[in-house]
Amino acid sequence: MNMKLSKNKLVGALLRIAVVIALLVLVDLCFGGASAWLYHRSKYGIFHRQQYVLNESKDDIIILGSSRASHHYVPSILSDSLGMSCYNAGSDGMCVYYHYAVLAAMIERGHCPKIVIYDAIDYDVKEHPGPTFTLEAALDRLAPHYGEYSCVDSVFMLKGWKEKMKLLSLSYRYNSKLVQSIKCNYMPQSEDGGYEKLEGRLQPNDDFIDFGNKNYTIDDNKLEYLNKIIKIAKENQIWICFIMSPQYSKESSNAIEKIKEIAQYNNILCLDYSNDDYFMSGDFFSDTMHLNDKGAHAWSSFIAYQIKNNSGI
Amino acid sequence: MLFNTLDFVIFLIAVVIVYYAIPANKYRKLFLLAASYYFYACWNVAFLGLLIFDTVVAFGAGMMMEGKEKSSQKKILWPSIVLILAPLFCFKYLNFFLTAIHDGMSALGIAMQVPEFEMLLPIGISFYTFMSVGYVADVYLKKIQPEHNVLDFFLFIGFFPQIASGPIGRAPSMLPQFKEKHPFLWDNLAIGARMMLWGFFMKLVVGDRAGIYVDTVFGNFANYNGSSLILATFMYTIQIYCDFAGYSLIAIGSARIMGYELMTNFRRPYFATSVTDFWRRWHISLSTWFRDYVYIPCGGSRVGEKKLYRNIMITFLTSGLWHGAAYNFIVWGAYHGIAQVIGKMTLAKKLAVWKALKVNPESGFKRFVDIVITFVIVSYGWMIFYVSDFSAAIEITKGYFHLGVPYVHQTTLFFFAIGFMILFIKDFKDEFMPNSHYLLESRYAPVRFISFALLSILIVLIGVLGGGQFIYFKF
Repeated sequence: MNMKLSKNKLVGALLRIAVVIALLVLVDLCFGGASAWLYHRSKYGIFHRQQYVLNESKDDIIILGSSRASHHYVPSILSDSLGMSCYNAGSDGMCVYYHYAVLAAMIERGHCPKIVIYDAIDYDVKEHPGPTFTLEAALDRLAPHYGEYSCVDSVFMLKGWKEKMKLLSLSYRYNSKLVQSIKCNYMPQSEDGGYEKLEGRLQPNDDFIDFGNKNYTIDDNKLEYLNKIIKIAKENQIWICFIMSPQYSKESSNAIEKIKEIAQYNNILCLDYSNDDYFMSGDFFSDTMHLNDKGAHAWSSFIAYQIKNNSGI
Repeated sequence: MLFNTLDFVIFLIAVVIVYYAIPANKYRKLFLLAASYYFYACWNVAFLGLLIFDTVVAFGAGMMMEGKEKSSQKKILWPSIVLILAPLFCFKYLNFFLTAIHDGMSALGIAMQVPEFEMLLPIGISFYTFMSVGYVADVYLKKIQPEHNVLDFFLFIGFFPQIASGPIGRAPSMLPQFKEKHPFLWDNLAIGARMMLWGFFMKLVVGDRAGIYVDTVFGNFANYNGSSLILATFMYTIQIYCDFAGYSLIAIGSARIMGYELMTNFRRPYFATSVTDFWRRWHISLSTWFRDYVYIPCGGSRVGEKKLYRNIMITFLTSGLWHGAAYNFIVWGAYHGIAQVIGKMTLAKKLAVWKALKVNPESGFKRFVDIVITFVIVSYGWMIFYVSDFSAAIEITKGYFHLGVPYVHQTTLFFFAIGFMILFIKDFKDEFMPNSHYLLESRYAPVRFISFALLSILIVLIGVLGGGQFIYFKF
């Protein structure tokens, strides 16, 4: 009798658990679906640019990199100088994992750009303690595109099977994206082929960047993905170069040397203008790491000339 | 293994299934102890030795005190307390005391070198040390008979839901629970899961979201104006509550699913009407520990006025030191002690002021004013608690007066505002309408189920899912 009672209790409990799970799936589909709808109809800003570059771009020149890329390269200038279409796929707080996913997805859908300008930063090879410039940051940004490209999915697999489990939830893919999605739908933002201009200038009392402690730890996964980018570019006859654009400093971060080594080993053009004298003026910078619109125009003209001379295209 | 990770959810589900599948209570407990030690060893297997050391000492001390005269028991009590406290002192306080000696000598103009030891603080050491000391003291005070069952005792100290950050379990209420076999009950599962869900909401949606703003502003406080600093102080006040109360709820909920009832650790502390009232509602397991083993042995409140104030100060200075081996924690403890002493000293005068203003001391308006004043006092204390050095606290205090437009990070503030409003409504309802039951607590099962699903997805949609550390793990 007791045995039967506890068996009934267990079945009842299991049924209720099943109802809760079914409700969870339903609510997840509703909220996740609404978030997906909002994300995929983005007309402006970061989400629109990401979808364009992953799914639509047929541009000849693609600029990859972090916020320093998105604020430093004016595609219309490069396009005019080189006679090719150009898109700036630079993205705030992103490092090599994201750039790999963007380029690999383009190739996977059948478009090979002719030139890839990779604006490299030290965090493309070294560990970053904060939430940005990490694998997690890249996965968070790419989550809405999980399942669309096998190369993008392969980046998720770096986090193991648990990440795959989490991605079963549609809502999880749009975690913390609601505000940005609303902005990308209803707040028009001006852009020029992915370039985001910055205003303002440095104040006379602003100091040069101090890189402080020279010790750093190389992130082996990042190194692997940097090599992967080179490999897929070479395999698809894409001319790729690494560029260190100006920053308000008198020296380079020493992790940059590692990137130069990789470029040299793979016989890739690497141009380091991170502390070029010409650009070391407060007039050109919005903050110590980013050029303002005036600086970006000057830099884009300068680098377009360099690429024209070096790419042989 | 942090509570706010998928690893923990998987671990808990596996433990619960196996736990209820084992028919004999003895083997259930054995399994639970193994699971608890595995859980603890996930942080650092070497620190498991310290946990076992404290457990063995406390268990041995209890056994040795059995049947002895009070004077003989005392000879066992103090050495065992010293032994139990030794690892905590070495790992948490040794460097601080050596530095303090160095600072003191330097102030006197005596130059001396002190060694500095690089040591990791074992997770939960402050919590299980206090549980062990509490048990030994309870046996001495005859509040409990010495425990004879090794398994029950080891489980009491090492029980995984409470090992990392409490609640600080007490032997008289915990040990008897390990004696009985808990049958699977839907109510336990439902109540435990609801507690855990609300804990996750507090931690991931409110606490961790607030932390993004707090760390940005306090991390570079010189560059932010007074409005931003005030907003960061407010948000840290909410963050630390949600972080720790959230953790406690997940712990209590996890235990409840297996049929164990842990001590309530938070009771809406920001609705407190005085600092004394705040400590009746905040980290209750620690406050009552200090009350029973520090405040009352010092004489408690049944002494003269001056001794009462002394006892309060001793209790809160010790509490400050418990939270961390740094000057700011001691200052924070002293701040709370002084706030309570002033509160007691001015009690009659405050009542006279209310009378003069013709405001009924029992009125809602007075209560509202008391809540606001207490909240401001406690919030300022949390700022002292956050900053690592006292000069930063002074600079932030000065900064409060340079008002301006606060720094706004849209995503952070938007999601925080949603979470905070839901939290406020829930706490307000629990405080002022305790007999009303809505949504998760509704008497209608479909409403409860739908609320559960909605809250779960809200956490996934707007929570900070990076697996952030819990603030109280540092202690």
